Amino acid sequence: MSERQQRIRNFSIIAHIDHGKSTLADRLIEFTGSVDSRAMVSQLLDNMDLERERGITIKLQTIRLIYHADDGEEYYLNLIDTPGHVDFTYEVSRSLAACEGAVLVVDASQGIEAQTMANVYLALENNLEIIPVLNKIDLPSAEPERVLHEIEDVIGLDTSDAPLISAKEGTNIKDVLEAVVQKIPPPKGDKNSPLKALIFDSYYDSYRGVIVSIRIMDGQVKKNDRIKMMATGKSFDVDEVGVFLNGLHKTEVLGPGDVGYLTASIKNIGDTAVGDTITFEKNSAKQPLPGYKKVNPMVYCGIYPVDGAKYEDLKDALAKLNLNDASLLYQPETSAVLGFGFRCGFLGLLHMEIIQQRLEREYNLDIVATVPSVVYHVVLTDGTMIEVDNPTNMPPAVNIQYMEEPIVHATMMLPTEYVGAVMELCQARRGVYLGMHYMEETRVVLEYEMPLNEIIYDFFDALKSRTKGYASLDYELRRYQKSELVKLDILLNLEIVDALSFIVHKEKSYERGRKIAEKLKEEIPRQMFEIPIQAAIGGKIIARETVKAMRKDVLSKCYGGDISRKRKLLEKQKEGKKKMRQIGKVQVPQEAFLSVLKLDE
Amino acid sequence: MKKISLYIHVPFCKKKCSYCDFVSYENVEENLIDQYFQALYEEIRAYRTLLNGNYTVETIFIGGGTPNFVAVEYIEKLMQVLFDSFEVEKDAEITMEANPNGHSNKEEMLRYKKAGINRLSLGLQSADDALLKEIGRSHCFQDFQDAFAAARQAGFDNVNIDLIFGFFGQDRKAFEDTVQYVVQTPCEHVSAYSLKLGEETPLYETYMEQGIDVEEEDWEDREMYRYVCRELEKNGYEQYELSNFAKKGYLCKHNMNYWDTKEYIGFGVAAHSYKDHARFFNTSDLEQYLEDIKRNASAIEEIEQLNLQKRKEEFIIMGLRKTKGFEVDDYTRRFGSDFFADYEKETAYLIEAKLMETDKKNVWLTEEGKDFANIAMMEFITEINY
Repeated sequence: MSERQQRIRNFSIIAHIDHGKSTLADRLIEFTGSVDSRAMVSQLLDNMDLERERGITIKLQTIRLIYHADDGEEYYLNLIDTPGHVDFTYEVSRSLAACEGAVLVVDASQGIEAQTMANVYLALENNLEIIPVLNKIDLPSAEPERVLHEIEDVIGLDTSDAPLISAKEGTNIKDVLEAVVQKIPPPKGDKNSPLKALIFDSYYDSYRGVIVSIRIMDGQVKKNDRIKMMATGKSFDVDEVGVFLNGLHKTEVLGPGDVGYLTASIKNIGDTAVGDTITFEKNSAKQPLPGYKKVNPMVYCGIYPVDGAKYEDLKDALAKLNLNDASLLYQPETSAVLGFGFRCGFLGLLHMEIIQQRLEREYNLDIVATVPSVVYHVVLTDGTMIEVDNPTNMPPAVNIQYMEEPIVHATMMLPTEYVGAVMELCQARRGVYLGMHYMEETRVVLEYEMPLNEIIYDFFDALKSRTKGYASLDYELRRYQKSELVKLDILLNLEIVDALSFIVHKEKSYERGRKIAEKLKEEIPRQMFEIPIQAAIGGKIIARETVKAMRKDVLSKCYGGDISRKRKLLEKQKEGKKKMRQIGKVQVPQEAFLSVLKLDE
Repeated sequence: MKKISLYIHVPFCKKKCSYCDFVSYENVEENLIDQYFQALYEEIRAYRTLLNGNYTVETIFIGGGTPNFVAVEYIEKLMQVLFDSFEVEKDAEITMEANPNGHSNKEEMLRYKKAGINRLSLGLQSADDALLKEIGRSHCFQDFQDAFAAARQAGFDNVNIDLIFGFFGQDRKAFEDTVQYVVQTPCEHVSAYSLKLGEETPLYETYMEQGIDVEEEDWEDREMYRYVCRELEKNGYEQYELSNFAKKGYLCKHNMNYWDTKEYIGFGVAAHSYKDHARFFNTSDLEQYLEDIKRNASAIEEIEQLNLQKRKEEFIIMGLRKTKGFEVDDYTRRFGSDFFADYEKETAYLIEAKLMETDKKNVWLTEEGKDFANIAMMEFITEINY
């Protein structure tokens, strides 16, 4: 191993939301002087607005810190950020696979929380050295003794020399850096073996093509090398390699243990799948790195512009998002009530929500999203099987022999006191109990088999609310299973709204139809006429609600002092109307389309 | 010489009504009222040079609050200051709002008349004592009858009566009795307001506490509105605006100027003005107002210069309040373009929706359009500033 390789440390920071991951990252950057502090936007690593707002990281960011340690040596510390949510578990596991260690940040007053656990276990699976760090010790409510004890009990980590820090105040930041240097082993890898580089992230740059974030496991890569992606089979010539300092910093070569980037005039981000292994076209590695899997969308929904004239804008926006997010699928579709739009596929519900919000915020589009759906297998009477991810495309019942739906293996981690409530929830969602085991006295792992279509309807929210946020969820597709499924239609003012149709288990259809009708009644504002809301299965009405007609919408008093206010009120009202979608004669707010998802009692 | 209207705000009441969200103060010390009027006089005088030589005053409106709550002398002096400061037309319409709980006996009415006020706007609201009490009015029906009689005796021959309806659980019969009382007074003018509760009002809070959903409850508001329109029409009152009715020749000129988007200057706390295509208004904080006037005789908090587009929009939305709507020729004269060309799509939509009508000379709201005026007016709003 080269002397240089000895001085590389690759690590991630893992933490529950709000425990101070980004603040600590900022401090590490600041302390090592890696970024001019004046130029440092608050929390450099979370650079999408949406991320900052939700306090979560969606897109991976990486930075190299140069640290002069107490032993007099200079170390290269590659900090690889990880996303923190179940939809992105695979991406987290890939970025952890690029590291030898992880800094586990725990809030000194909150203690360990649900979300931390899933990532801790991923880190343990990847054989990472975990360095526990207690943050927010400046708070009066901090109980470092108790929390350290908890970390020992629950995770079994030695906390005797865990750094006690306040990232906010900048206290003891150096302890963290020293621990990283001393505890995390340098990366292994042989520079003379054939190239093996793990892709853990990629994004599109309009000048240079795809910028691929890689971790070199074996071998070396430099400009003009002819490389091959082992999973996709595509080959490219390397234009540039480098590391992440303050932005991209070109270097001559990347060797074993290095974390950096390469560009190779790659136009399609789909060619650089996360988890794939890069090797040379000639003299290629025999085996790819373990763990690559193709990520398929699990959840689909239709996305339409509120204003039909904005179709092209929506198309451009989706194309741009797709440049940096190969897991987002989209293809044009039309709806009788919503006009032209796109059928989009997502990794999970959060992914879906994030894309929808990015379309609205970054691209300033008002959109309507239809009820999400999973992919069903429909076997027709003639024996052929079709895949249906859009209820509108479901064939008439008489042509269907039977249907199958995707079943996932769901793993939930939660404190013991909530087991009853969660089991009840899973039962209600057609879950089949597989088993339960204690991680330790106060925490269990519950395993269920569950139809995915039960999970996409607000299951995660329901789970969170029943466990005060302490449960974590992970799921993996297992198989397809025969199921009694029906298509439920919603009629507004006696017209079917195709965007609100969905496929549901027969036994749950009445209840769901009733709840949706009730929910829509709350969401649709009164209008100048009465609006019947009906739920129907194959023409049979199973539930009905009515939005009563509005009696008046008039300001009866309007004199000299009221004119400006009056105009502002009308402007606001107009703005509100712009966000509504006209379906037949009825104005429907965007929220109504989403609200049918949030039916938790 | 151009014409202008003046509005003077008297922000004091004996007691604020539970549904009121206007700027007005209750339980204030005499001393503060005095300071206020001194400031008001000063603010008015400061406008002398601006208006004189260019404008004659066509109408004056003293509103509130309750202008007859303060000592009569203040109003007498106010009129004096106005006459001294501006060129008030000989036949100017000069209105004062008055409540039966304020100065309203015959002698006091005579003094208002003598001071130059020639039109009174009296707040009856309802002839039902139970409802008056419920909504926090501090007068009873008898008080109103006395005040009205005193006004007549003092020679006021142009009197408006204010009514309000649409309270939750309001007694229909009692409301109809109120309307019948009004038509037999017989006053010259009636304003009948459908209640629109502001969220800041005590009554709104009371309703919320009682679990009454202000938006959802199916109040008989529209039935009452149709009743009052029909009965007033039957008794010789012509409806000329969404909430206003007058006997022939007694339209309120001052308010018509608002709906015709003509110019006016407001004096006093929270008073609004419109002049030279700019809307501006004074601070609504009484202390601040006194301080501002003391310092530089202007208490303007904000000025908004209206561009052509906004002026068109305001002309339309205010114009549509009038029963006869607005004149298309007037639009062309003011803005140099054709209304139907400017708003082709909106006009077609609203006519199709039966909310608006036109004979090509005027454009007005239909009966249904009056109930949903905001929905119709909103169509003409194009420019949004955020």
